[in-house]
Amino acid sequence: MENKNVFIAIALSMSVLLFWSAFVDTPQPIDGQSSKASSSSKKNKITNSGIVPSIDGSTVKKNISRKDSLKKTNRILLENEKIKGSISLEGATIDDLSFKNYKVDIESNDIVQFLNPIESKNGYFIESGWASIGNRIKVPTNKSIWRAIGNNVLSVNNPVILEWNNGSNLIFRQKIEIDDNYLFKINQEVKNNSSEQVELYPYAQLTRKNIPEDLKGFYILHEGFIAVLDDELKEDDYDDIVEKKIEREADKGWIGITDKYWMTALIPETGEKFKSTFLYQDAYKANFLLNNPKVVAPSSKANNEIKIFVAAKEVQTIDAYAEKENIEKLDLIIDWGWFYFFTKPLFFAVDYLFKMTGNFGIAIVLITIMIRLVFFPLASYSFKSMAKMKALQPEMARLKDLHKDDKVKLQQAIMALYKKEQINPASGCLPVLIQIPFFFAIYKMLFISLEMRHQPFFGWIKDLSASDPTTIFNLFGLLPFTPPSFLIIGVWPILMGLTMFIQQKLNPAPTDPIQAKIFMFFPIFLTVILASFPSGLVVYWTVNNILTIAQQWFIMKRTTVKTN
Amino acid sequence: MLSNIIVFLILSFIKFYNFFISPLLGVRCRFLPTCSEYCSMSLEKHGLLRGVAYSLKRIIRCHPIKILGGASGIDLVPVKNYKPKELD
Repeated sequence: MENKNVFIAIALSMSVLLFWSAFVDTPQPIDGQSSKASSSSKKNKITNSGIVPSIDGSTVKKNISRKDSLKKTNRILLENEKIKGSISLEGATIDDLSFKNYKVDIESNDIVQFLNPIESKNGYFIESGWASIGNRIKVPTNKSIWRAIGNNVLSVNNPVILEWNNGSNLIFRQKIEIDDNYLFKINQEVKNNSSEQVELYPYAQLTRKNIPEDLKGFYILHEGFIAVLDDELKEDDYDDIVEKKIEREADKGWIGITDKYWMTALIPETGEKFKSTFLYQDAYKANFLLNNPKVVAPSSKANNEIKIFVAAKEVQTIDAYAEKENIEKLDLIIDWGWFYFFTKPLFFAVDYLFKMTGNFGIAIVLITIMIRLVFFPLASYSFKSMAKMKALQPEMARLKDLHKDDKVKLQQAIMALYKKEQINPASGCLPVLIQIPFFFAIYKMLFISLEMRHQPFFGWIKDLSASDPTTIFNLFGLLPFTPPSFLIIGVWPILMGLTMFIQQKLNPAPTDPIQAKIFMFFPIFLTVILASFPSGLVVYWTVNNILTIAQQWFIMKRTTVKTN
Repeated sequence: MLSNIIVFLILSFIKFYNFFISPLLGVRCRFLPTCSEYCSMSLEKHGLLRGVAYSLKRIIRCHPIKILGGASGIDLVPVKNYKPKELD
């Protein structure tokens, strides 16, 4: 164990050294000789080591408070209906952004601060710029001090123009616009006043110092790096990227980082081939770099447009962007999962009910009832034949005993019995299998839904996306102490366990004694597991159990009367 | 080799299903042998590809709606070397 740690430490220090020499040290000199080399080897140079986005790799180790670091640089303020924050004139980075409509938690009035300056603890920011082969051209870095021309408050329909002069006849400009939701459009421009032609590669980069504090790390939800490249969805976890840098070439698409409820995405100019890179280099970084440079002849200009999303994952908003801005598969940033085609319509149904009733919990109850209704005939049919079969169990046991050694005979005898008793064969397994996707869909939908966040239900449930806060271990709040978190088992999970137990009792008990015992523990086990899940999910599960019990009980009762 | 491993995994899953999941669902078999018995038998007899094909064919018939191919009764795994065509 000890040895292993040493080994990891060595490997880490090695990689730091390597990163240092590759990115931070001095710009790699590419002399005239090598640039005259054959075009294919030149190409290799470009992709392998020649150009990297000109990130000034200096690591910011200090952690100062968000407030202090905001004060340190001059800023352009920005605000619209949904977001507010500022852009640092040092580096022209978007590094201060909050979602106005989302609170940190139900009690506080603080809004969610998503992007943070580089020097603050959870630094998370976006920069865009130009790179050159071998960093030969002096381009803006994250230390460059930009100057606002004219308007210096960014709002809808009031773009801001920033300018930076590299001191050797290149003038860089950024025209930054925001819309009324979550979209930034940055039009970057280079004006070449020199007498030489320059080639510059546009790029944009997300940098995030730490993984989010509320990372779920749960397998049904992807959190981390994400991209759609040439129509293909790519998802990489944070630890994958720490292990290995991932580079991909694409003709079109977008890249980003997705959280459970929030996201950032970078979209290169349409029609441009680009390379997407996910890496860890003192911080998590996702960037794209265009494959082909903008060639700027003396005394002319070149432009490049970059779209940047910093958004709360509201389904309608994201869908509207995917369509309006023609960004392929941007909607996949909401992790609908394999049963996409079920999950999404289901979400719209719940959302509709939510808007109608005004309560997300009631919407969940209603959708559960509706799904039950859809499957009502199927379930009825199967409960009916199950009830009949239960009545025949003694006879079945007799037959089993009679044909102990001959399976085929036994099967024939059972079939004959069915015929004699005029039992329709049971509903079969396909009807059950069909229900599985529905179950997954509703489960996933409730798990990922931003719309459920901070939505109350009745009584003590103030947030359906959080677990039930009550616990049986202090008698649901009667005793004045708070047990440790793993002992928080609330009212709803216990209701779920009870209903599940009752439902089990309606089915014939398994004959094997060990099996029977395991089944006794099943509801308890699930109660404990579900206790830490969003209470909206537990409400769904409980209501579903109750409906199943009601239907099954009613049908069984009727059937027994008939056979008597 | 790989297909043997996959067959083994599927068979283990069927055993798991028989022990933990099937009792929760209650008696619901239209066919004998049951679907799970049928699947394990066909995998053992015919190997991965054909075994899975027979199994799927069985499961999609396991419902009461006749016009959608629903059936019931005794339905044994086809003998070895039968071509799937001759199943019907």
